[in-house]
Amino acid sequence: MADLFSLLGNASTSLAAQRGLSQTASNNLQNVNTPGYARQRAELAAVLPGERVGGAFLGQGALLAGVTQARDRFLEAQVPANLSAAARYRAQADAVSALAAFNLEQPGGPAAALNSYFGAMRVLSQNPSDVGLRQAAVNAAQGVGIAFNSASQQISSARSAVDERLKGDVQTINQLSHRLADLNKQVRQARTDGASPNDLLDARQRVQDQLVEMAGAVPVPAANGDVGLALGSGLALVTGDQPATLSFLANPSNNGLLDVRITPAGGANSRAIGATVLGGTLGGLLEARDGTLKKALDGLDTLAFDFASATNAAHQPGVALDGSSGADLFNPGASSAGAAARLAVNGAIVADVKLLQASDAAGSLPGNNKALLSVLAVADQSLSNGQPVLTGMSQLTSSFGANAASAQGLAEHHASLKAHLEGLREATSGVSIDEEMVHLSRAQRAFEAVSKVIQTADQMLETLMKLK
Amino acid sequence: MRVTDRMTFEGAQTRTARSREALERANAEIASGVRVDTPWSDPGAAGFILSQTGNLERLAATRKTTEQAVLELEAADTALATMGDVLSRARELATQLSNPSYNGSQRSAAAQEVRGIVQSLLAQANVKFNNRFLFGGDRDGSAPFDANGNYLGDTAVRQIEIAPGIFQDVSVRSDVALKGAGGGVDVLGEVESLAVALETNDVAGVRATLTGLEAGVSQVASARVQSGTIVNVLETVGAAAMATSTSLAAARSKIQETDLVDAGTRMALAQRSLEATLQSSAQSFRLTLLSYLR
Repeated sequence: MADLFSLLGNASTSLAAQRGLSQTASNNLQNVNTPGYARQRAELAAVLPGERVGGAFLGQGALLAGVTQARDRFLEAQVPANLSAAARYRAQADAVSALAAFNLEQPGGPAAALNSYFGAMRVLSQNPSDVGLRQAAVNAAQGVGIAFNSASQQISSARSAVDERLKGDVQTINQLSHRLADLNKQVRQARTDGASPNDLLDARQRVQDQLVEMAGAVPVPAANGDVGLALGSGLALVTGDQPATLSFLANPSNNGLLDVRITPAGGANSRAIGATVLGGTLGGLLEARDGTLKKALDGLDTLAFDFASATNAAHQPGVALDGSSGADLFNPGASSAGAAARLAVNGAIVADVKLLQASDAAGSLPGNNKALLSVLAVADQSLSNGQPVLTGMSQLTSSFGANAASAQGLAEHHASLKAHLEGLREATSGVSIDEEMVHLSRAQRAFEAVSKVIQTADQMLETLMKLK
Repeated sequence: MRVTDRMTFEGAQTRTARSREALERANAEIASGVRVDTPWSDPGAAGFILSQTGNLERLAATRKTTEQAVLELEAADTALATMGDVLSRARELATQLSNPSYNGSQRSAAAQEVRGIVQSLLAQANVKFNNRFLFGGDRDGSAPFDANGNYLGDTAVRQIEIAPGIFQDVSVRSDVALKGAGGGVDVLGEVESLAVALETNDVAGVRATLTGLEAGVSQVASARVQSGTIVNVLETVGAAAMATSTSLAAARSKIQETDLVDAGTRMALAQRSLEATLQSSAQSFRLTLLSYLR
């Protein structure tokens, strides 16, 4: 038969349940600004079974059955791909947009220098014996060399800057991978008693999201509740509590730029991984460095080499004012690789502009301009890419711009998708202060009511105690 | 849809940032006057702008070159005009003094004038412009005629490029105009012969120079016509280059530069949008249960 003491006991349990409700709402409020936090719900349930009194069951109050998280697994499964893509294209767009070498308003760019050079040569062709005009033409030729050198250097610096960021990101990824592996272990241990370690799950989700953004890894849930992470080609970044390790190594065949390498968990041999295996920020950076930026550098090198070679071919047969012949005007080196960085005017011609070979015959010095007209014809000559040098420069600029614009467009597109999905995730899992205030007030009211029950039971006991 | 406080704040942040970005972009466009300043602003336009800039630079250089050539040709024409004048005077003297009524002393006096004409012709034939000799062909570094009227230059005609692969002569051959190369008259030789005939009081010799001098005047006049024709061509090229430059610059400007009406409209819209965003954000921040629970 139910007694007053059991009433007190039941009320005490119910009070604890209401306190749990209040504490959960309070915890939600305190984490309203915590990134990755999923709001929690205190689940109350009636104590079972009820106490049988005569022919009826009397309830025994309420208890805290559990604290669950508000999560939409369907939405969350879609988030990683967008996180990775948004980070990838943002990193790529940022790395590419930092390059000013192709900016139209950039003074001293290769296109402007080539225009000045052809202009100066054209003016000189009218009076090739004029030493002042020769000096202006040689200066303009030097300007072409300097412009190509500078553009090449800017692109190389942009590629090296990517490496600096890679170094930091690789270290962060390693730290996060270890943290994820550790959290997997902690979650597994916490679940042994059947409870859901919500805060650990949130922490793991945050680390997982960061790794997805940084390395483009794909979450792979395991049957035991662990979350693994796999890179492209199924290469494991984290398996259970075993993280792989990323490292970097200078690659001599890529101008000494860094290769990202992975050493699988267990310490097997490391291997280089590129933008096809890595995604996220790291993949975007590699794509920018070895894709768009390298393509621009190669294009610039080819243009510099072809232009210099064609000019030299026209200049060599010419005759200088001192009757000498056979000299190159430009020195682009032996091959197109690195030609833009090396491009320079023949030092002897810089030292003595009379050595510029403008004439096509030694007997018709100094006014003959036929060799100079051939040098000028290079402006309209198709180079190895099938186009004249200035058209090639325009196309290189357009092509670079199109790649950068494409990366920026994709970055904005995926950022918008990411924001949309994160908005939906927030709508499900985010904390609403208004809601939590209602929950808190509700818990407070219930707490007050149960306290009243205890007070009433206490008064009833007191009444009994006073019976004589 | 369930809306959380974070969504309210982050949404306001995102919308405000977007409005500010649009405002800043329109503002920058108006301030700089440039719509396309990076290759990724408009990749197609960037290539077009570079290409047009190249064409404009080329036209500017062509104009400069043709202007310089015109100045030289005008200097050459002045020299040829002077030569034509003194040759006409030599022809007058030859006509006059071939008349038997003149005596030896008169012819001797005329010979002195003709000697001056020879010197004048040589001076004009060795005229320099911009520090180079105009009538020596490619050998423009030294005087093309010696004191005896021998031609030391070459037969070259200078050319400049006036359009891709199209070249224009920009000098006249003085070996043709003054020395009769290719079947003409040796003008300097004829004047020299006149001087000698006058000095020796050789009436027949004086009369013999008349035909040559007449042809010489005509030959120099032809050279002037030739140089005038070239000047006309070059001036036409310069004018065409100017007109093309204007049209190319307009096309480039249309693509590259800011449309102030459009940018101003966008700026006004962005301003309105920012004001509205800030106002609605401030309003939504105020609406919370916390304001009512006491």
